[in-house]
Amino acid sequence: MFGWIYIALCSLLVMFAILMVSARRPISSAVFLVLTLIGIGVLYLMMNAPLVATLQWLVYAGAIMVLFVFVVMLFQLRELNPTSISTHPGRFALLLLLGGGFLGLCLKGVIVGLQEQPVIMMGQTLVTGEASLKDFSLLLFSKHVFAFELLSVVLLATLVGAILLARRKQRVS
Amino acid sequence: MGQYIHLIFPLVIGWGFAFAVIALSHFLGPKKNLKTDLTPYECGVEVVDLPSSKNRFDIRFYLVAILFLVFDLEVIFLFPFAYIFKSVATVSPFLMIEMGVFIAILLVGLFYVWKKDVLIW
Amino acid sequence: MNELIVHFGIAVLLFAVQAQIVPVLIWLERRGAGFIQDRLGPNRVGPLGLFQPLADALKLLFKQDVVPTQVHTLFFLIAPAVVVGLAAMSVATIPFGDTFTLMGQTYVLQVADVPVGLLYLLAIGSFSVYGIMLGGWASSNKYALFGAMRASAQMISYELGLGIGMASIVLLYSTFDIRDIVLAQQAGLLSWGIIQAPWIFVLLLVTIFAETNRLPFDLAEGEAEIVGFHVEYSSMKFALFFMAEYMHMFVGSVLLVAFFFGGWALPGVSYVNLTSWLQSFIGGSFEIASVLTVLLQLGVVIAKTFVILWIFIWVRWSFPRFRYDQLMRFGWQGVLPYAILSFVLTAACVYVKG
Repeated sequence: MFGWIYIALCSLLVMFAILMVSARRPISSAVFLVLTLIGIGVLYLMMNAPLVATLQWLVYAGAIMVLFVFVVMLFQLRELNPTSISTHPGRFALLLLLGGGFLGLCLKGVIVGLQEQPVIMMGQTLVTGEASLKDFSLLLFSKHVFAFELLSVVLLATLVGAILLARRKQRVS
Repeated sequence: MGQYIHLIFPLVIGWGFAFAVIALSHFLGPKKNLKTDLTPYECGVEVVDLPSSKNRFDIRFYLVAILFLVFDLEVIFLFPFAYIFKSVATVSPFLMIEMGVFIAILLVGLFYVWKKDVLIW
Repeated sequence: MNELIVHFGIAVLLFAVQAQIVPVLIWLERRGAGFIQDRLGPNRVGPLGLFQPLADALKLLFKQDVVPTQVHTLFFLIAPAVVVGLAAMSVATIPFGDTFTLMGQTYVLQVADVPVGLLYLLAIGSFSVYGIMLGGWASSNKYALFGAMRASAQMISYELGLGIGMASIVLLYSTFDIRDIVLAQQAGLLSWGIIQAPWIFVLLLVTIFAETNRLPFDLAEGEAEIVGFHVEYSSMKFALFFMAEYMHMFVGSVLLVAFFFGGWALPGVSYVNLTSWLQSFIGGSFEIASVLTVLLQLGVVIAKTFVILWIFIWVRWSFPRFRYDQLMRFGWQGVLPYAILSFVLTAACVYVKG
């Protein structure tokens, strides 16, 4: 059953991605990107990676997209002249196909789930959440410690770069 | 996986409740559309929309968002460290030294940002 | 199938608790404000003014739903639903009670007992910035936009302190599952979080005040001082923003109770003994006794939550509010270094104790 729900979710996410690329307003595009990233987090959940899923929600959809939406709102970007992709005649048909595909595949998944033996339903996984969390953390700090420390230097460079880009000409006292 | 499905329930209940309440108030209220109701609020005067007021934003908001992003990335690395600290640190102190270096480098960043008066509004 | 129904029932019960706390909080705030300011609060509508929130809700429900012509309609309608929906979702991984058996299966009084509950909560808190930003932007009113920018900049600044505070809690208990954190505090009063690490409690209290836009951090929502982000909203959409604020306050308080005050732990009361005493008292079913015990635990959690909610209300009516630049300066130059320091201090304590 989860296989069908997974494919259904993929169809929904492709629909959101196409909506994002072909949206008329920049803010709609940003909102669809947020929905796509949240959906990718749900895909990670279905692949038994809850830590990666919640970190995806926290960082990508919760911090990076906040920055994007800030910029869109600060610039008060207007609706652009409709580009060829947002007025393409096949766009609505493709979106309808993907949305209908999502609903149809969900329905198929529910039907299959109601018919099959309730064995996998309540939380039997090959790797439990806690074991993989511990392994991930141990690996991060033993095998990949150099990359980890390098990451802090990269973050420092980002900080300095952002300040240099946006520095005011006069000091504010 | 089984328990994660239950996360859908509050989603459906919460959002459904909110939309139901909005729809209810939309249908229950009177519908006198006065001219003043329909124009944007500008403390009682007519809307002043000078061309010089477009796209004048304060760059400090952008800086706050970038700073939040960088420090949020640091915070998410604190989580795996905190998860294994109790069981590993008593065995070997290397974990603390690694994380100490990480936090020290980011404190250098915070110090630089502080000294550049970016945090003063 | 039965299990899904019981879990849905638990979700409905916990949402009902969260939504019904809002009118109680409104009443408590207005009577409490009167008490602190040496006057009576509302006392006309019903005994002790207890039906005042109902009267407020009915009034707002029947007001005209003004939708100005220049707004972006879809985002304008969705923004209040986003904040309320996210507040309802954030209660999903917080435990309100221990295990109980029903029809042969054991359940926990918690919507989803997942191993990453704490990070899920933090992620939902990060999303609630969007509701305010979209609400302010959709109003197409430059004052609402500035109000929304201020509110969201304030929320993301204090979210860092919240994240580091949660990381300190994880240091203490070495788990992301909030149920395990509560279970680790059942072993008596000395194992409660407030005894083990009180500095984190101060940090989390301050950041939850700022996250919920609550005084002394509530410049963004204004109230007769500054034009906030909700100027163009009317009727129930306006009410939903404030309802979401009270729901977030409730979630923050329950979280503080779960981290620091032992959740449902009553020092000196063993719930296992209580269940067997109840079973012999009502003569028979273990299941009914366990359900009654769990409901009692829910009552204990709510009682402790009310103590912290009273602190919220007390602080609101005792202090003036911060100016915006003071607020941002405090967030970056005060809370963030204090959070990092408390993290290092907690790590040192755990290292020395272990």
